[in-house]
Amino acid sequence: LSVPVTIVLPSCTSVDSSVVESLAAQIQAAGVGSPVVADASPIQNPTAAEITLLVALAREASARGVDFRILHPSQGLIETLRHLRLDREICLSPGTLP
Amino acid sequence: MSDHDNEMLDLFVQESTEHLQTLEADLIALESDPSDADRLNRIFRAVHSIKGTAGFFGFSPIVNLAHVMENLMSVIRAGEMVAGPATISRLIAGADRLALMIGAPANADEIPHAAEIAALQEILNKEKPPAAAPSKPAPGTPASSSETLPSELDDFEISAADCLPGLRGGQNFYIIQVSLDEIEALGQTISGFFNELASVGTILDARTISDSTPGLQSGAPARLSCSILFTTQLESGILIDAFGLPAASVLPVPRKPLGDWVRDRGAAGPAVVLTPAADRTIVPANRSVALTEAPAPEVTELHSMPRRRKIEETVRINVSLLDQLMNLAGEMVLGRNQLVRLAEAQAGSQVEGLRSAVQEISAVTSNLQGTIMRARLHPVGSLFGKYTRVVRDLSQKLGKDIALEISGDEVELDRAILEGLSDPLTHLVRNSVDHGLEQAAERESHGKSPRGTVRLSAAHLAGRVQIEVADDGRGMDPAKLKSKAIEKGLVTPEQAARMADNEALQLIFAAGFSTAAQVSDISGRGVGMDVVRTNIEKLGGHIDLQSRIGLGTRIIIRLPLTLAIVPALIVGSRGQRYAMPQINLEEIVRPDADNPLRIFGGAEVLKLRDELLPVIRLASILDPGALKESPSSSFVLALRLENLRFGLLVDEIMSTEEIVVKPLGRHLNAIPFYSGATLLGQGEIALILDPAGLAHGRISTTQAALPNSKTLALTRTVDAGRVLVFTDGSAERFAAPLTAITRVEQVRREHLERIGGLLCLRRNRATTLQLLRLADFLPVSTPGDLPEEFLVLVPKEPHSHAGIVATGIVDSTDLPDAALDDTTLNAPGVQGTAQLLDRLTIVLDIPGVCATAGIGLPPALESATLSLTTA
Repeated sequence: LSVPVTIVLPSCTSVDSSVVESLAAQIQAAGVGSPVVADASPIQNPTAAEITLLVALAREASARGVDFRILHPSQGLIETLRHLRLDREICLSPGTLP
Repeated sequence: MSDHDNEMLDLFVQESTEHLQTLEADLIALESDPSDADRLNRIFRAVHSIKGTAGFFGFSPIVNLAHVMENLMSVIRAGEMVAGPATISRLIAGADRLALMIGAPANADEIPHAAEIAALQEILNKEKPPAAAPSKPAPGTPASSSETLPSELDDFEISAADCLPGLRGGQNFYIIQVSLDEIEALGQTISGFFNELASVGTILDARTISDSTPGLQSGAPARLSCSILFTTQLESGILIDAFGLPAASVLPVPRKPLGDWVRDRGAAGPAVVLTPAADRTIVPANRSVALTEAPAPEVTELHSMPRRRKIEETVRINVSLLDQLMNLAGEMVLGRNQLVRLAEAQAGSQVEGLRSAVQEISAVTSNLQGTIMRARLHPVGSLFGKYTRVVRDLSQKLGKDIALEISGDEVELDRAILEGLSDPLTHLVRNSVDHGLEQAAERESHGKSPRGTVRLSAAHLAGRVQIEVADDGRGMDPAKLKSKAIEKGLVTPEQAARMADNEALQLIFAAGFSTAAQVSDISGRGVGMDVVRTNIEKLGGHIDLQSRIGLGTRIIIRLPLTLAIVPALIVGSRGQRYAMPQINLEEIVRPDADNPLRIFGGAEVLKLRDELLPVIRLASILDPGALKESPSSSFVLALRLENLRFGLLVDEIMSTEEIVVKPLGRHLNAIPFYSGATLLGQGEIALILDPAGLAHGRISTTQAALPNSKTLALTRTVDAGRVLVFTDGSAERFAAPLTAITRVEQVRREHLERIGGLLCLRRNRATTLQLLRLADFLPVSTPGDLPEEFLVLVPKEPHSHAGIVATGIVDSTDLPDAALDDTTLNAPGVQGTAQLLDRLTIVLDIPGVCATAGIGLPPALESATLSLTTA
C-alpha cells in the first residue's frame, strides 16, 4: 500500500507562484498511481483563485496518473464544486461526503 | 365518477370559466396595445392552464383547441408576430368555443371545433411555416442566428427530459459563460452566484473551462471559466441587468432548434408539446404534424396541477347557499324584531336580564345579516367586462368605429341584481351601438368625431346604484317616435298630439315598438326595451331615458344596492303604518307655531334653517280626497333624492326597524308610491314608501329647496319642450321655456329702485337687474301691485341682465309642439297659447320679450355684433 502524500492547500491569500510550483512538485514526486491527499480545511468559502488552484492540481495529478483526493472539504467547497460540476472531476476523500 | 372526481371537475369548470373571462377581456384590450407584455403573458397562462387541467381529465378536444391557441399566443408573445384584429378575432372565437366545451366537458367532442383550430392554424402557418417546408431567406439576408443551436450546447451533459419542463413552460434557454474572476468581480461568491441563478430559473448543467493549459509548472494556474446551461422565464436583457453580467456572456439558445435537438435525442414517451415561440407538436418522423391530434400533456406533470393550487384565503360558495343564508338572515331579523317588541312589553317585569339578552341578540343579528349581505355583493365590473366584447364584435360587424368607456366598475351590487341586470344591459348596449351611433361618415358630416362612444358607468347615488348607458350618437326624435307609434297602432294620432317629448321618448318601452328600418340579428325586432324595463322593475329598479337629437341618448337605471334588508323609519298616516327607507331620510322636523307650514308659490313649504323645503302630504297622495288639515302633531320627513330635497308630511313617527324587503304582488306593483312591503315586529304588514314615486310630478325642480341665496339655479337638465308656468299678478297665466331661463330669484319689494322710469334691482356694485312686468309690453290685463315678496325669472345669456317679474310659480310641465296655438294671440314676445295645467296659458318667447322691452345685448356683445355686421 502506498502511503498517501498529504499536501495542505493554502488559502487564497498565500497563493503565489512559488506555492503553486511547490504543490506541483509534490504531485510530480508522488509518481503514477500514488495517492495525493490535499487537505482543504483552510478553504471555507472558496474563492476563484482557490478553485482555480484546486482544479489545476487535480488536472496535473490526473495528467500524471496520480490519485488525487480532497480531504476535509468545507461545506462551502463541496457546494461550489457541485455547482461547477467539478465533483465529477475532483474526488473527495472517503467519508467526507455529507 | 366519485364525489371527489366530481368536485375536481367542478373546480376545473369554475377555474377555466374564470380564466376564459379574463382571457376575453385581455384579448380585446390587447388589440389596442399589442405590445403589453403582462397581458400577453396573462393570456398565455390562461390558455396554458386550461389546456393543462383539461389534459389531466383527458378532455382531449379541449386540449387540442387550447393547444393551438397556446401555440399562436406563444408566437405573439415571442414578438414574432403582432396580434392584429383578425388574429384577435380568431383567438376570441377559439375562446368562445372553449367556453362551450368547458360548459359540457364530458361531451366536448360533440361540439364542433375543427374550424376554430383550422383558422388559428392558418395564422400560425402564415407566420411560421412548418419546419418541413422552411422558407428560404431572401437573398442577402443573413441566416437568423436564432434558428441554429450554439455548438457549446454539445458540451453539456443533459438529456432531452431535462429540457422538457422548460420547453413546456415556455421558458427561455441560455448558455451563460463567465469566468470565476468575473463572478468575484460582481461581489459574489461562486456558490452565491449559482444559488441566485437557481432562484430565478433552473441550472440544467454547468462545466468549467480552462482558458489555457500552461500547467502548474508555470506557477500560474490557468484562469477558469464556467459555462452554464440555464432556463428561466427572464428575458436576456433582464438577466444581464439583474446579475450585472457582461452582455456577451449570455448566449440565448433558440427554442425551436432546441426542441428539434430534444426530439433528435429521442425524448421518450408521448410526443412533446412545445409551448414556446416556435412550438409545434413534435411527433415521430413517420407521423405527419396534426394539431388536431395534439396529445395530452404528460401525466406526471398534469397530475400535480390541481394539487399545486395555492391554498387561498377564499373559498367558493354556491350562490344558492348564499341565497339560503340571506333568506335565513331575513327571517332572523323578523324574529329579532318581534322579540324586541316582546321584550319592550315585558319592561318592568321580573325577567332579569331579558332586555340585555335581547339587545345582544339584536346586535348579533344585525351584524350577521350585514356580513351575509356583503358576501353577496360583487363588483359591477365583472358584468361590465363582457360588454367590451359585445361592442367590439358589433362595431366590427356594423363597420362602425366605436369606443367603449367604462367607469365605476368597482361599484358593488347584490349578485342577484347583477345577474338580473345582464340581459337588460346587453339590450341597451346593443341598441346604442346599432341604432344610437352613426356611421363614421355620417358623424363627420355632422361635425362629430368619426369614432362614436358608448359610456357604461356605475356610481353610488343616494343609497342606490345608478348605472348609465350613454352614447354620443344621433339621439331620438320624439316626432319620429310618435309617428312610428301611430303607425304600429300603439297610440292614436290624438294621443300622440297630446304627448310631451318626454312621454314620446317613453314610447320605446312599449311592447312591439321599434324604429329600426330593418330587423337585424342585432336589434330592431321591438322586443327589447319593454323587456328591459320589466326586468329592471323586477329588480326593484327604475329606468329613465334622456335623448337629444344629434347629441345622443342616455339611459339611466337606478337600482337598490341589495334586495334584502334595509333600515327604515316606520311612520303612520291615517292610522296606517308605512316604512320609509332611512337611506333617503335626512332629518325629521316638527312644524310648530313658530315655524308653520306656509304656502309659497302655490305650494306648501317649511322653512328649515335658511331654506324653504317644499312639502307634500302623504295622506293627500295616498288619498287625494283627504282633508288638508294636519293633525296637531304632524311631522315632516326631510328627504333627499339625488338633487331633489323635499319634505313628506306624516301623522306619526313610530319606530326604526331593519325591514326585510319583500316584493309587491302584481296587483300593487304598478303603484309608484311603494317599492315593496315588509313584515313589522308586531307581525303586521307595512308598505315601503318610494320617495321617488311620491315626489314624481309633485315636486318640481323650481320648488325643491330654495336656498339661502334666494337664487335657484335650474341645475337639472331640462328638456327643450318643458316650460315653467307662472303668474305675474294679472289674470293670465304665462309659460316660459325652461331652456330660456337661467334661474329664479326671490326678491323683496323693498329692495327695488326706480331709475329713469325703469324698475331695477341692484345686485352688486357693478350690475343691476332690470325688471320687466309683462303687462307693460304684452296685451294682457293690468296686474295689481307687487307683493312684499315676489320672484324674478332671469333669462339666459345674453339677456341675463333683465328679469321677468312673477308673483307665483304654478309648476313646470311639458309643452308639446302640437299643443301650441300660435294664431289666437299673435304678439311680439309671445309664441302662442296652450292649454297647460288645465288653464289657457300664454307661452312666452323670452328673447322676444326682452327685445320688445328694449332690453338690448350687453355693451360688449352689441359692439361685437356691430363689428361683425359692418365687416
